[in-house]
Amino acid sequence: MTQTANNSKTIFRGILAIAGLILVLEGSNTEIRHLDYPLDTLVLVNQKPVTRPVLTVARQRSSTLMAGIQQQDQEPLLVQRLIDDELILQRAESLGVLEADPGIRKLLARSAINTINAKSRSLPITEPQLRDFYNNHQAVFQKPARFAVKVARFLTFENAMAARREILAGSSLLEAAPLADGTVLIEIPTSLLPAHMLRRYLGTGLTDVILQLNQEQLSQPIAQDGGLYLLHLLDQQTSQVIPFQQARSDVISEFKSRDRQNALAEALAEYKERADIQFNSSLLEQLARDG
Amino acid sequence: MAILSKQTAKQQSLTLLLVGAAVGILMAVSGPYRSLTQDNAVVAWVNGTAIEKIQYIQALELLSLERRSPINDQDRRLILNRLIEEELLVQKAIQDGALRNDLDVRQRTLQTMLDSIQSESIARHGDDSESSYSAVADYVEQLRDDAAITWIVEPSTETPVTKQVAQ
Repeated sequence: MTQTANNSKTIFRGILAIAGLILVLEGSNTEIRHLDYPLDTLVLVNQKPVTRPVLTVARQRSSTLMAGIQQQDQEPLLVQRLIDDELILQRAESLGVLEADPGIRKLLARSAINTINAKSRSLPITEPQLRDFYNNHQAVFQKPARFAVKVARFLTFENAMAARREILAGSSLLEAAPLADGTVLIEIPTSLLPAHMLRRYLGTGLTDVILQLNQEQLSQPIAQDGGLYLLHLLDQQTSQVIPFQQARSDVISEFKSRDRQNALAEALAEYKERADIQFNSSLLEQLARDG
Repeated sequence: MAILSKQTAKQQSLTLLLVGAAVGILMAVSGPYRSLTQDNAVVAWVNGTAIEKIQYIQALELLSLERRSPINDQDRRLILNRLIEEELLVQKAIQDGALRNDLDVRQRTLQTMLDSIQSESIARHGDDSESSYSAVADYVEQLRDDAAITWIVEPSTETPVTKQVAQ
């Protein structure tokens, strides 16, 4: 029995000793020294290396400032400056400035994206890859269809129909639309415009109607926003696929752009998979309810 | 009989003590206990870093200004996803050493720290460039005093050294 008690005491003391050591290590600011710093290290600042390439960059960047100082005096000054910078950076890290400052956060996010992009940029692009990409994304490499239209807004159905009859009889929309009774000619450039520009001037609903019209066709009166619209498609140019050789530089830049997007999406998916992400569902639900 | 029951009681208390100590150590190592559902200022945690409610609401407000239409559930998911992705990118950049390798990050961080020291000095002594300069100098001096600086190579001579300048 005494033997068991003695063993228990020894185990207990051992556990206490290990727990004490763990607590001391956790609580102390001591960093365990490793000799695995880069070979071109000049000086270690709290075990963080200041390397020769960093000194070279600093020398290049401060050449104007150092112009009046003797060559042999420049290097010690620069190294001292780099040591001070390193100390300030370490302080910024310990204060959590990197995570808290929105400007630095943006630069950090951009830096991570640049690193991902640099990896995707370094991969060579072959001619068959470009051809395949061009063939599979023809819609990207074409001149879009363009339309020249005239549009008038009427207050009553009767006025709209009267104007429509006149246009069909040979008048222009300008002649047919009596301006006195609230009819408005919508101001749109008379040149050929792509669909996205038409949407900007007329909105999605009217543009969709225009896209269905044939050349020189006049629409039926279309009720929208408390008025009635007549749409006259004066001219149109169909979309044209640009030949591969002509579009080559655009194909390359689009290929690279999509490649960057894919690389970023893949990297983010990987980070998410590895990350520990927890949601405050009750708060999110409450915020959604509150609008 | 009495001695036996006393020893059993001793063993039980020892076992309880050991279990208690083990639980205590586990809790200490696993970090402060937090309850997500009770934290009303945080919408999500990404590797232990909080995404605050205020960030989420501000991002939603910005989106609604751009959209000119009411925010729906899909928008909310998109915004939360973007905030999580930003946090993951920030963490990745820090992990990859962007603070020291990326000149923009490095410069911006140094400038932010110097601005903060100078702002504090201005708040105390007024807008005096001399006291601002000396505030920065004092700050750096204090950092140097607390630092361990070990020379590996003497910069001017390129000679390897093992001199300990300050500890």
